[in-house]
Amino acid sequence: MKRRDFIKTGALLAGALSLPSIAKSFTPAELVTGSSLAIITNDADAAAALAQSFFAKTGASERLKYEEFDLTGEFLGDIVFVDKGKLVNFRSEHDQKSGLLAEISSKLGLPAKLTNPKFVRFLSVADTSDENKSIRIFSNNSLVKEIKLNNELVTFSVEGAQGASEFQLSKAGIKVVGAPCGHKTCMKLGTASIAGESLVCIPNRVRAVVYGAQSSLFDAISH
Amino acid sequence: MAQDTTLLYEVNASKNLIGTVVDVKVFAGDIQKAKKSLYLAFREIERIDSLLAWQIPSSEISRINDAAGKAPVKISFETFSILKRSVQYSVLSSGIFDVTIGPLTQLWGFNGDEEPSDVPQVNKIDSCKQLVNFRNLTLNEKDTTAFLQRKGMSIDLGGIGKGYAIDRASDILKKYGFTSFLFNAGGDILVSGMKNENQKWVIGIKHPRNEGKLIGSVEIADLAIATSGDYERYFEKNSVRYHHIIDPRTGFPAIGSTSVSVVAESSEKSDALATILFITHGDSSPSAPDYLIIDANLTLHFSPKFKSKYLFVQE
Repeated sequence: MKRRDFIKTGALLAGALSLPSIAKSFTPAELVTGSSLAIITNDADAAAALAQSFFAKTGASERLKYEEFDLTGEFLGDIVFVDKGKLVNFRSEHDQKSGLLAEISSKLGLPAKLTNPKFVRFLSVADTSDENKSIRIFSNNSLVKEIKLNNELVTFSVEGAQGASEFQLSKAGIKVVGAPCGHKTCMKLGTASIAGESLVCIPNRVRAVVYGAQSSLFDAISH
Repeated sequence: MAQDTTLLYEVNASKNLIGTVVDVKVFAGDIQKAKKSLYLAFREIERIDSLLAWQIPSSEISRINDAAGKAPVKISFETFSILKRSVQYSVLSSGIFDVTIGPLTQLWGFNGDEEPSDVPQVNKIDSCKQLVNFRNLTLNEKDTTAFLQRKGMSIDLGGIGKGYAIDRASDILKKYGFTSFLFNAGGDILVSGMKNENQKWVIGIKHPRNEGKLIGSVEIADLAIATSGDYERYFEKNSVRYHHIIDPRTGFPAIGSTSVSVVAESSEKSDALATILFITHGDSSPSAPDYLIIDANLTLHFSPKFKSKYLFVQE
């Protein structure tokens, strides 16, 4: 797989490899803005420690958001570093950052084909703009999709513990339009569109979270 | 200490717990240490749930419920203490907050596996209502036993248990040296410290009727906020909305409020007071908590200093 393909599918996301037909509907590359370091690995602890060392050595000074998710299925494990919107091809470049990233990649044994790996990501809080609002879908605590909120009306389903949860994505946001559980509270939660808002189906263990610039405006939403 | 390093990471974690999703963000210099501490904090929430959830057959609350009308049950000091505090809220609210609400909440079925779609029969509501009375919960301090005096009575700590669990999880993070973090348990939020040296945590409050909108936001530090609303767990019948916050005086869902947010020094307190104020629609006493009540006409009512104290901004 070419590195650019990895950017589109591996890092953002990930679920694209196990859900190729759905992935075609979206333009995940647009989500890559600002600076971020994403690693798909079997050893999240080692990746986080190595990344912290990388940020210390390269003089990072702003606060960075750290996220770690489980992925389910087969994935290409690798490192993607986007520096101020520019993809750093660390395997062919020779600056300090590239050298350090190549070292991390080697220590983690990447690239490699991995089963049920961890997805580790560092990004600056300012990296997401409102135009880049996205939805993350989790099933049983695993991140299965990350999709951009755009003008298209899209429906899709995500398998959970009890069956398929049906989602509808539109410009207005995301809503649950079908749920296999008994009480269907998730369908009454309406449309989620504010960054930080989430729709949760507890019995089916499926969750959709809106992610974007307002995450830095509002730290949480009380409801 | 890790927090003394210049570069801080905002470490995010989520877990399905206590019938909701608990999201945590903690500012840490050492990600590994934060992850280990978060694991222990989540484990603490699971431990408390295993003591207090009536849905878990082996919990201490289930044991008390099973022995209703039969015999006192020996319980841990921790469960005893939370029951004692629950009774204090009952006394303070003249029974509007009642920890023995179980028969009514189970009759309405909002916490069950199936979606409730019909109003229970009035005679059933009446008979369940007769069983709801915190004065018939005997707490014996000498041997830490709890006894529900009448068969059919049951305790439901839904109005306080989640808040308590979050308070204890917060203590775990503090014990491991973290000072700046946020817990969000399905909209019940507790923050520790400031988000950074200049900025408090900014919490949006959901609009009770406009999907995807906020009614406003507040700024808080070292405090908790809980919101009780009629807009998530409900059904409609003949154009009437029936929701999950039951008024023990009537046996029916409380009317008059659509959303109540309370800011308090602990998550337990904000959780309990939000339920109480949802039913009472306000508190004019000098010791009134800090609240925002949105009534049935969507008019906002604030406790005297709420807006200025928490820099409330209306959306």
